[in-house]
Amino acid sequence: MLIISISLPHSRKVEIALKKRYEHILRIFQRSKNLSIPYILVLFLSVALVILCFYIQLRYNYTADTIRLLVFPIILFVVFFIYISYELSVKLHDHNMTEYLQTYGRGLWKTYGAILLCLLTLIMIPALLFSAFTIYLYYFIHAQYIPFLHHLLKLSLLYFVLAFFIGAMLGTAMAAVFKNKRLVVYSLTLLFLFLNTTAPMSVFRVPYLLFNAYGVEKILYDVKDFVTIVPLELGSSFAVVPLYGFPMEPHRWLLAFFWLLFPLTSISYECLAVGKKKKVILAVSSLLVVLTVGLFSWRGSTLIMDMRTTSFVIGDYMHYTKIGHIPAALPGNPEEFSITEYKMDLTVSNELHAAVELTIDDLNLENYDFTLYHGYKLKSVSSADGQPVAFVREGDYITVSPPSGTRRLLFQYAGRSPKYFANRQAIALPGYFAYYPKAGRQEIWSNNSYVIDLPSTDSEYTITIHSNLPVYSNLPGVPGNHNSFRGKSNGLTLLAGMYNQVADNLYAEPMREDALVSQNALIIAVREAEARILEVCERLQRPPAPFLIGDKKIFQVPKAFSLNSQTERAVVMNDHITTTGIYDGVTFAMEIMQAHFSQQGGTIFSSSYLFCLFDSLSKDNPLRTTPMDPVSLLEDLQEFLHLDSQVNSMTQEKFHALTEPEKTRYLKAEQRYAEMYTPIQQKIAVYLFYRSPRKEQNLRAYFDFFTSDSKEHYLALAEKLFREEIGHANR
Amino acid sequence: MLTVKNLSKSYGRKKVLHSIDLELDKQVYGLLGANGAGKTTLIRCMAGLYEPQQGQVLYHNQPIQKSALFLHDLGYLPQAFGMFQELTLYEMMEYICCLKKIDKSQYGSEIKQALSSVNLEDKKHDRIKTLSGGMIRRSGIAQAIIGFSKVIFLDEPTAGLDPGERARFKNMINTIKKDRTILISTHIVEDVDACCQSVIVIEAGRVLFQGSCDQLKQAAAQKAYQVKAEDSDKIYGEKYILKINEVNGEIYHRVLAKEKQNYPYEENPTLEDGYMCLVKGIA
Repeated sequence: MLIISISLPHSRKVEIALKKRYEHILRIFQRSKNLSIPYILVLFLSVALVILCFYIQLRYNYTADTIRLLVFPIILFVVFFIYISYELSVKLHDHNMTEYLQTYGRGLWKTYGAILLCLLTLIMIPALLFSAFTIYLYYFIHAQYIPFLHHLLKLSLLYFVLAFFIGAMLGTAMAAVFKNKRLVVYSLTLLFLFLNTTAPMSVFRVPYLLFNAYGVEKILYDVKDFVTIVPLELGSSFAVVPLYGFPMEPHRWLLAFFWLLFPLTSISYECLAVGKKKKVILAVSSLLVVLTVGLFSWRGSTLIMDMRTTSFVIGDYMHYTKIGHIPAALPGNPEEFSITEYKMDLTVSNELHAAVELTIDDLNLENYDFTLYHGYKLKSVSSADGQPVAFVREGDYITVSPPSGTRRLLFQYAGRSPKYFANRQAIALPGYFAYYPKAGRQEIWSNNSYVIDLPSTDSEYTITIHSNLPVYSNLPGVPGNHNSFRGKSNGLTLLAGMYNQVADNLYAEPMREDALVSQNALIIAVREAEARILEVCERLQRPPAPFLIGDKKIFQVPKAFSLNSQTERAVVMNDHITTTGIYDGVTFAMEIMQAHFSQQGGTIFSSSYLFCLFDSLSKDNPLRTTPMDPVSLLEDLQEFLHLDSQVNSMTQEKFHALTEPEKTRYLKAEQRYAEMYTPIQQKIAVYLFYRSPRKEQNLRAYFDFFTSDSKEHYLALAEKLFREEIGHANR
Repeated sequence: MLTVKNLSKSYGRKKVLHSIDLELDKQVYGLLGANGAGKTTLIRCMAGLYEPQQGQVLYHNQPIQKSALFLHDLGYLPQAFGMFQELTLYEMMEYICCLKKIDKSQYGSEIKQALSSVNLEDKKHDRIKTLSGGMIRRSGIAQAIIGFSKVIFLDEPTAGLDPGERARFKNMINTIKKDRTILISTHIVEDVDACCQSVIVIEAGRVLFQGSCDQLKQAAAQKAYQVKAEDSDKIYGEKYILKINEVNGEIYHRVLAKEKQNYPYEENPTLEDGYMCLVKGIA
């Protein structure tokens, strides 16, 4: 008999052996009831989650919220994969297999390889299910915005595939390192889960509350961030900013790769019996840790969506009110000079790196005051010829003392703001924010709100931005130069990310779902706003020119800008308007009008004024028909004004100096003030501007008041108008 | 064939092996030593699992770390041995064949040969979790010999086995020993006596003896005495009472004595006599 032996090529043999090992490990998984049954349940839960998300999408049609819901429990899946990967891998230790497998020539490593391959198969089923659903949503909503599709693809990779695989790697690595010390492994897993939820927030706040040690809180959050696999962690109620999308900054990819590679090096280290390779692995692993921690600490500007003292929600509130960086009171410190020209070279990488050369118009001052947000760390100030110029920085303010006759100053700085972000994922730097030096000392924060303080005159801007993103600006682009702009304005607005030009002079976040973003709807709304402004100006018998949109560019900015801010619904600059969202023409018109009002007007009162002026009071508003008597309203107003002066003049020192009965009386007054605050202002506004027989005169009087620089209390005029009306009626 | 040269190993400051030199050929060696003598450490160093601080292990004159042949030829049964409980014995052996890079077409014959050597062929379709402790140990030997491993290290292979399994083990070693270097680490002298041609005695990390079983027995020549219990005290000089046993209702002591006594010595000392003479410094 002739036997013909055909030997297979080496690569084919390796492939067959790998397949065989993989099949055996998969069989072990299938036959382990403590693994396969929970896995099947998790698969059912995955399908249920997708069905729930689809139902939510059908019902509310908010894609970002739907995906947010899908992402919400992802960390639980990661923890589950830690469990199954650990329990599958630890069988090697439970059954004392590692020692003899090591003698098979990388036998242990091959077994871990087969386990990881098997786990990869297991994680890919839910990961692909979730990914497919997100991509399907893109087509389901007819998004037709390719950057959003790219965003969803990256999201699927980072939040589902890599996150799940990180779970598998962590579980396997813990089996390799901690072996069958289940108590250690499950304790670490619980800690990992804890850090990937919002639960630590209250714990981390303790050092600040007890010892005012917000530095400790920062360190704790740094540790938390380092192990946060899925941002917008479990328990977080923050909505996704459509301009920014789901957080996927470079450092998150870095962390994802670290949490894949570090467990891999740990497994390799445990698999290698002896030799130099083991030392090499140890060195690589250590280098990986050092490198990742180093790069992580350099992460720069991120959108921090939690309640830490540096988050975008409360960062500035904490800075200006709680942590002791109270801005200097600025009366009597007017802008004594103006900046005629800016030449800016901006690099947006991990954060904003800027070299800003500015030209000043008055050369005879000894000191020049500038405002630059405190988050931007000033490296140097120099004259045009490169000579360093002395400067003193106090929070947001910089006092520069250049040699006499210095016309140009070069500021070099880098940094970030928690709210107005600029990084590789998105840029949102509105022109009214001091992210570049502005002339004089301008307030950035006052009375628990951001302050809009724009220069009255335009400056000439020449801007070059180095960024991986296409940047949109209020200034015209320099033809042929990517991300370069030149032109005149009183504020430079820069926006990038999931952002687009929707129509001529109209820019918006294409994936914004709560406001108008389509070309036609926006054009109609802007036209309507313009028409309504003309209409009300005619009614007020005042010239409409200052309020008209004209050829101003309109930039929709993130809705989140309204957080902690009563001033950013619409900001009107000389050549452009920023708005947190256009919902309809009338509302937009009201916001534009309000943007022109002086800031001392209470927003409840001025909003009610505008509703009456634009005849937009809701039909269901009971104030339209409730009987109102000007005399009793005047009495209420007088009481309110009395309480207002009482409450606003109270300080902590004064309060402590009161006797107990006085304190009780004061607290009662404060409570009454709070109860009256909204209803009385609304009532007065509705009466004066909607119900009163003298409403047209009242509207004009208040319009003049709101657009003036009057220092009078905004309700003092109401008192006067009531008296006039009562006096007139009595006659 | 397998040479251990000047091998030393420490755990931290504690030196466990002191300059070990050994030569192993194609036969069955018993590595005898008390608990903690360094047997397992020596075997692990010889299997390439531990890196010695000093010295090396050579296989066909090549350091084992660089020898692909050694990796191919090595079969190892550790003290604690187990397998995936969810697989059948056949599947587990198949998995080991994969890791040992045995050609897929030969899996069947290799597994059959290995399992029949350890008398477990009829259990090949049984799940590992249904096998007894003895069967698991025998499966461990099967995994060590599969793929015709030429160098086999068995670390305490009979620990915890019942007498029947131990007898079966000894028979099995006699079945597989041909053309192989087998090193059996144990502290049970009878096991060595039953199936080893050569013995290595290790004590406190040092090799006290390497030679044939007969040579080790000779270490107790004219030194082993079987005396009545009441005469035991009459044995003078350095001595060691190895056993106390009862013969026809009378208590006898087996005494190892350094000096010649006035009692008749055992004509045929056992391996245990020789071993104890060595470790107690009586030889």
